[in-house]
Amino acid sequence: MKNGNFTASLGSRQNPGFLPLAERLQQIHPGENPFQAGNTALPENSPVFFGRAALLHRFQLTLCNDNPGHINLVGDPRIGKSSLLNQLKAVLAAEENLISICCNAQGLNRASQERFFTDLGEAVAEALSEQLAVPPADFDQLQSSVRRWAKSCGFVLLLDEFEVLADNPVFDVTFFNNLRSLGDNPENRFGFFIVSHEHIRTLCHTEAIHGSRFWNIFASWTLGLLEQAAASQLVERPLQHAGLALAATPEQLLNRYGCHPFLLQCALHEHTFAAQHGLAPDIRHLHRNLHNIMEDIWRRRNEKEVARLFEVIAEKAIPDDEITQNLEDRGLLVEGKLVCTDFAKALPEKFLPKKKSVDAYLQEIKKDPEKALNSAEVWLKYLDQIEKAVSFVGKMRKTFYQDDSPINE
Amino acid sequence: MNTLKYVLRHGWLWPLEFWMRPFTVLKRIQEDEWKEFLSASIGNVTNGIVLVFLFLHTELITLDKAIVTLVTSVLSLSGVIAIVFAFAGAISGALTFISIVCVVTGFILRIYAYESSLSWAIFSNSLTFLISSMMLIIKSLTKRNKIKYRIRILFAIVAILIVIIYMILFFLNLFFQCTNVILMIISTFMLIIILSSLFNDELIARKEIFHAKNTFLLLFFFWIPSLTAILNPFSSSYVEKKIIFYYFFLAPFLASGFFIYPALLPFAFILYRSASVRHHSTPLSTPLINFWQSIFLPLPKLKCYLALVVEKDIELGYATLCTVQSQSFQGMAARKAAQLVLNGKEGLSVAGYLAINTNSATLQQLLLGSLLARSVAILLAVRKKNTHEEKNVHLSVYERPSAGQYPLLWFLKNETDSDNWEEMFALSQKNFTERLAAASAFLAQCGECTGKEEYSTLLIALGKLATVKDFHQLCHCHPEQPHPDSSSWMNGGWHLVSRLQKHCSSVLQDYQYLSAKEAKVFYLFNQQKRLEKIDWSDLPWFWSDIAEELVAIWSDSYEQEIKDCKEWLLLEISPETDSFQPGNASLSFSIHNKSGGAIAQKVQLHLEPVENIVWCSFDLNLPGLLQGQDAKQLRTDLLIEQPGRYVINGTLTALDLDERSYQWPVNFILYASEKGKPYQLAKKQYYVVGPRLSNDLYFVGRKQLLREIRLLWQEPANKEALLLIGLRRMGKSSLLEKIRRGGVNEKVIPILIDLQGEKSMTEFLQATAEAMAEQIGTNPPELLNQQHVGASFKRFLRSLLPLLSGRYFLLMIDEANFFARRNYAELTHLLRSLMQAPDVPLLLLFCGTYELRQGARDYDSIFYNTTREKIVSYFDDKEAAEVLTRPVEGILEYDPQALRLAFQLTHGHPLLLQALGSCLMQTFDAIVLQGGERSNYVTYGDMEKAGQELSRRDNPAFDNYWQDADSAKRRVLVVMAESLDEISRRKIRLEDLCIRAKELRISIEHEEARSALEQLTQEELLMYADFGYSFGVALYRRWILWHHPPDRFRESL
Repeated sequence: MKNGNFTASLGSRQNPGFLPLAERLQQIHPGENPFQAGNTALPENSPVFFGRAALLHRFQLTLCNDNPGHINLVGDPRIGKSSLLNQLKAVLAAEENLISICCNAQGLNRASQERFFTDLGEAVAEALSEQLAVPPADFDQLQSSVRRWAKSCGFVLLLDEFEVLADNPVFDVTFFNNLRSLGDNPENRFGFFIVSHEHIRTLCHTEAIHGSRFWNIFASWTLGLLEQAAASQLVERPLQHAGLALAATPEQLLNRYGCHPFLLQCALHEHTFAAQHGLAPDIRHLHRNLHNIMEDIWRRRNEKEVARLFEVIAEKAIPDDEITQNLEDRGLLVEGKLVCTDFAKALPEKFLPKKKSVDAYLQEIKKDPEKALNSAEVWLKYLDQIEKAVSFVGKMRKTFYQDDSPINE
Repeated sequence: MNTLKYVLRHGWLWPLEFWMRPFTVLKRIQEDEWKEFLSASIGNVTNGIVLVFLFLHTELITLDKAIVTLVTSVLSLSGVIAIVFAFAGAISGALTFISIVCVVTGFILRIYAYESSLSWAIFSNSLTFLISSMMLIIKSLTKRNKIKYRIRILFAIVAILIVIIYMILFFLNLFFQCTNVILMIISTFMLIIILSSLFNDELIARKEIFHAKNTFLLLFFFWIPSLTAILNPFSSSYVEKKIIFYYFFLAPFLASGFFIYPALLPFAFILYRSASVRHHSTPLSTPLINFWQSIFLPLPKLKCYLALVVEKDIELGYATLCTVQSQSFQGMAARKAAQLVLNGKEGLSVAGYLAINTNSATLQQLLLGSLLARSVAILLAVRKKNTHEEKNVHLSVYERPSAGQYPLLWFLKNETDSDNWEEMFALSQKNFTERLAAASAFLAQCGECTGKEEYSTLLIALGKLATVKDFHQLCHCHPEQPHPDSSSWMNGGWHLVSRLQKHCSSVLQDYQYLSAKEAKVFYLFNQQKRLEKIDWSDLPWFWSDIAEELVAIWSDSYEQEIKDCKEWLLLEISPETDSFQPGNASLSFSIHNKSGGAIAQKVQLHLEPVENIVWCSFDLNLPGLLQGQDAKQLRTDLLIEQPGRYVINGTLTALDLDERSYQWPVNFILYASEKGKPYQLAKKQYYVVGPRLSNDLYFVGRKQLLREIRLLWQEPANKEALLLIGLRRMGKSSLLEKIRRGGVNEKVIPILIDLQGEKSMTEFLQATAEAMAEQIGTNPPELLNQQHVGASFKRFLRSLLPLLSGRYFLLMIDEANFFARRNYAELTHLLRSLMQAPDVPLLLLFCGTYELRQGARDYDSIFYNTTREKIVSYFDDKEAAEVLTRPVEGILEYDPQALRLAFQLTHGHPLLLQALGSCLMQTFDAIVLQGGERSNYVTYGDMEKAGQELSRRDNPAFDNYWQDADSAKRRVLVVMAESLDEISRRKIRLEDLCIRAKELRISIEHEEARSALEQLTQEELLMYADFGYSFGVALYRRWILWHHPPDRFRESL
C-alpha cells in the first residue's frame, strides 16, 4: 500500500519470498538477454542476482525478530545496494506478521517531520487494513499507534538514500532522537534498514544532527564486490538458461571487469546483445558508460583514499590500516590491487597535479613512482585545503546571506 | 671502696697489660672509663719510675738520676693527662698539652745541658720526620671528613711540634745525652707510625694489614736514622757509639712499644675515642696492633684446633677465626687454619661461605689458595674498592705478594708466589665468561669434595646464561633447573639463574610474535630497561655482583639486537579442516608466512602422540623455502581409532636465512564423528547488538544489583530515589526493561519512561499518567490541565491511592541525562516535590551515564542529596561466559579458552560480548552458505579472529565513548593506545604518558593528562593499579589504534 513516500506491506507466508536461484533462473526465456543495462536496480527475485547470500541471511535474522535490529547498509554507487534491498523486500514479504515499510528518501525533499510521521502511520494502517479515525499528527501519536499495532506485528522501515534525509535541514536532531526512541524501545518492535553511501555514523555527525544518538543503535555492513564464485555464476548460468554463447570467455570478462556487479552486468548485457544480433560488442560505448560510473566512484574518495589508491597504482606496498580496509570493503581494492585495470584510467583530472592528463600521470607514476607520488601528495593536500575553504565560505554565505547557491571552485 | 679495689687490682701492671692485652683494657674502658683512668694513671707513674730506675742501674749511661727521673715522670704524666683530653674528645687539647710538656721538658733539660755528638743523628732523624709529616698533612688535607685522616693529621702535628723542639734544642746547643736517646726513640716511633700509615693506604683499604712485610718496613725506616747516627763522622765518643749500638741492637724490642708505652697511651685512647675504632675490626687497621703482633709466635696446635672447629661448623668456625684474628695476637694460627680447611674436603663450602659473608678483599686472597678456593674466588672480578653491598668483615687467609709496591724490598719478593699472584690477578681481570671457564677448570682438577657436583651444575647453568652470542640465542637459552638440595651459599646463584631464565622466557614468548621493526625496537628497549632494573639486593653481594655482570652482557646483546633489528619469521599454521570420521583420514595444514620479507627454510612440524590417533609420521617437513606472505600446505595421514574430541599439540620449527631458529607451539582440536554436530545455519538472531534486551532469554547477570534494588524498596514508604549510572551501551536500559518485566516486589508497580524522544513536561506527565492508569487497569486520564500540569498530575496520583491499596509506582526514567540538557526546571521541581511528599505513592529511578554523577553534585540538581547511586558496571567472567553461551545452548559449543579470551578482550562489556557472539555466528553462517562445513565448536582462534574483526568494524559503543570524550581525553587515549599492548606493556604511568605524547608529537600538558586520566578512570574506561593506567576494555585500545592512529589523529587536531 502506498501512502505519500511510504509503501507498507504486511508479510505473509503465502508470499513466495526470496526464491532459490534455480527458480529464479527459470524466469529467463531462451534467446532473451537476461542482463540489465543502465542504472536501475535489479527487481525482486531477479534471475541475475547472484551472491550476497550470507548478508541476506544475516539481515533476515536481524530484522525478522521479536525485537527487530537495525542495519545500515553502506556502499558505493552501483555496487548493488538497491538490488540487495529489493531482494530483502522479497525476503521480508514472506515473514508472517511483519510490516515492511519502504521509503525512498529522495521523495522526502519537501516533507516536514509531522508529514513524515503522518504518512508513515497512514501507510502502516493501510497495510493492516485499518481505518484511522485521526491520522497521527506527530511522533507521540505515531508511537502510541505503533505500540498498539506492535502487539500483533513487527515493523521494518527500509530507507534508501539516507543521505538525502540527513542533509535535509527539516529533519533536525529532535527528529532523529524520535526515530531512535522508536527503534530503541522494544515495545515498538520497530527495526530500521538504512541504505547509504557513507556510514550513518559519519552522516549523523554532521552539524544539525550531531547531538543525536540515532546512529549508535545500528550495525553497519559495507557492500563490496561479489564473491568469486558468485561472479563466475553470474557470467555463466544466465547465459546457459538463455542458450546463448558469447565471443568473450568468462575468464576474459572476469579479468577485465573483476567481480564488480555493475561492471559485469553492463559488460554482459552488451556482449549478450551483440551475440543476440550477431554484432561485435560496442566496447567503446560500453567503456564510456563505465568510465562515468568509475569516475564518480573516484570523486567520492577523500584525499587520503586517493593517495592510497595512487600508491596502489604505483605498485607500492600499502599498510594494512583503516583506509586500506575501507577501500577493500568497498570493493575498490582486491588483494592490494585495483578492482579492475580500467579503474585507474577513470581518474578525474582534478586529482592530478599540474593539470596532467591521466595517461601522462600513469606513465610518470610507473617511471618514477617516488616523484609522482610526492607531487600527488602535495597536490591532494592542497586540494583538500581548497575544499575545506570552499566549504567554510559556503557556510558563511549560508549563515550571513542565506545564500545556498553553489560556489564556483 | 670498689674503685680502690679496682685500681689496686688493675693499676700495678696496667702498662704491661695494655701492651699485652690491649683489647681487654679497651673493653674495661668501655665498661667504666673513670676507674680505668685512675688505674692507668697510677700504673703509668709507678711503672715509669720503676723502669727508669732499672735503666739507670745499668752501666751504659751515667746521668743525673734526678733529671732522668724527672723526664720519665713528666712523660708518664703527660700520657695520663692526655687521656683526660682524649675522654673529652678534645684531640687538639691533648696535643697542645703534650707540646707544652715537651717544651717544659726542654727548658728543664736546658739547665743541665751539655754538648753531644748525637746531634747529627737527631738532626737527620728530625729532617726525615719533617718531610714525612708535611707529605702527610698535604695528603690528609685533600681527604677531610674522615676519621682516619684526622688521626693522621694529629700524628703529623705532634711530629712537627716535636721537630720544632728538636730544632730549638739543636740550635741552642742544648744536647743532653740521655734525653737525646729518649727523644730519638720517641721521634723514631712516631716516624714509623706516620710512614706506615702513609704508605699503607692501599693495604688499609684492602684490610690486608697482617702483613709481615709491613712490620719489617716499619723497622727498616726506624734503622735509617739510627745507622746515620752510628756512622756520624762528627761523633767521636765511644760511649755514644756504644749507646747507639745497643739501641740499634734492641731496636725491634724497643720499637715494639714496650719501652715507650706511656707515650702510646694517648694514641690508643685517641683511636678509641674516635668513632671508627669502636667496631671490633677497625683497630686492626691501625699499625699499632700490627706492630705489637710481630714479636709473638703462634700458640702450638692452635691451627689444628681452629681448622677442626671450621670443619665441624662453618658459621662458628668462621666467627672464631675472625675473633682470633681481631682480638688476639694469633693471626698467623688463624690464617694457617683457614688455609688448612680450604685445602680439605670442606674447602668449597668454606670458600663459598667466605664469598657471601666477607668482602672482595678476603675473596681475592683465595686466588692464591687451593683450586677449590680459586674456583670460587675467580668468579668475582677484581676491583680496587669494596662496594657498599659487601660486608665489612675481613678474614686474612693468604698473604698477597706485595713487593711490587715497595721497590726497596725487592729482596723479600718470593718469585713463585709473586708469579702465581700475577697470573691469577690477570685472570681475575678477564671477562666473566673466561673467569667462568677458569672456575670450571679449577673445579675439574679438584678431587672429591662436598658440593662439587652442585657447584659444577651451577657453573654450567651460569655458563649458558653468560655465553650468549646474540639476542636470539639469549631467548632460547634454558639453563638447568635448581639443584633440589641446594646448599645455602649456592642458593643465591640458583635464584639468579631462575630470575634471568624467567626474564628470558617472558621475552621469548612475546618477542617472537612481533614482526614490525618499530614494535621490536620499542619492545627490546623496554625489556632492556626491565632487565637492568631487576632488583638483586636480596641476594648475597657475591651473587648480586655476578648477576650485574650477566645483566651487562645481556644488555649488550639487547643493544646489538636493537641495532641489527631485523624482521623475524612469523609462521602461522592452521588445519584445513577439524572434523573427521573415525578410520583412516588425511589431515592438511596450511602454513602461512605472515612476516613481510623474512624467508623461512627447513620448516618442520612435530606432532605429539595422542591417544586413539595413530600418526603416519610425527615429523612433517616442508620442502624448499617459504617466502613472506606466502602459504604452503603440509599433509599427513592418520588413523582415528575412536570418535571423540582430540587436543593436538605440537611444535612448528623453522630457520630463517641467517640460520636463526624459531619455534611456535601448535595446538588445535580435532573432532572425530562429531560431524553429526556440524554447525547449522542460524535460524534466528541469538545475539542482540544494539537494541535493549526485551526478554529473559538474553538477559543475564546483574543479580546482585537487582537484589540490592529490591532490598532498597522492600519498604517503599521511605521513598528513597535511585540513580543508576553506567557507561553507554553497558546494559542500563536492558536492566530497566528487566525490572519492568519482572517487577521489584508486590508493593511496587514499575513504569518505564524514556526521555529520549522529544517530550515537553506535559507530554512527559501525560505519558506517565497513561502508563500508570494502564498498569492498574483504570481509564487513562483526560489530558492534563495545560496551565497547572503539575498540580493536575499530583491530583491524578492521589486519586489513584484507593486503587493502589498501599502499593507504589516506581517511575523509571531512562536517558535521564536529558534533564541536564533540556529545560526541565519545572519538571525537576515537580519531581523533587513528588519525591518528598509522603502522601504521593511514587518512587523514582533515574538512569543515565556518568554525566549524571556530575549533575548530582550540583545543588540545583534533582539528584542533589536525595538519591542513592548504583553503578551498572562490567560483567564478571562467569556472567560474561553466560552472555555468550546461554542464547546458543545446543547450537554453539565454546572452548573454555575462547570464553576466557572473550572476557579478556571485552572485560565483560555486555554489548561487546553480544557483538563477539554475533560476529562468530556471521562467520560460521558465511561458511555454511558458501557450501562449506563448519563444526559448532568455537575455538580460541575463532574468538581471536572475531575480536580482530570487531576492533576494525564500526562499533556503536566505542563510537559513543570516542564522541563523548573531549580533546584532552582523546589525546590521552590515542597516546595510551599506541604505547600499550596486551602482553607486556599493559600499563603506563602519567609521567611516561607525557613523555610518550611528546615522542608522538601530540601535545598534552601534565595537569591536563592527569585530569583526563582521572576522569576516564572514574568512567571505567581506564583502570588504575600500581601507579599505572591501563585500558579497561582491550578491544577499545585496538579500536582506537585502528580508527585513530596517532599520525591521522595528529592531522585531525
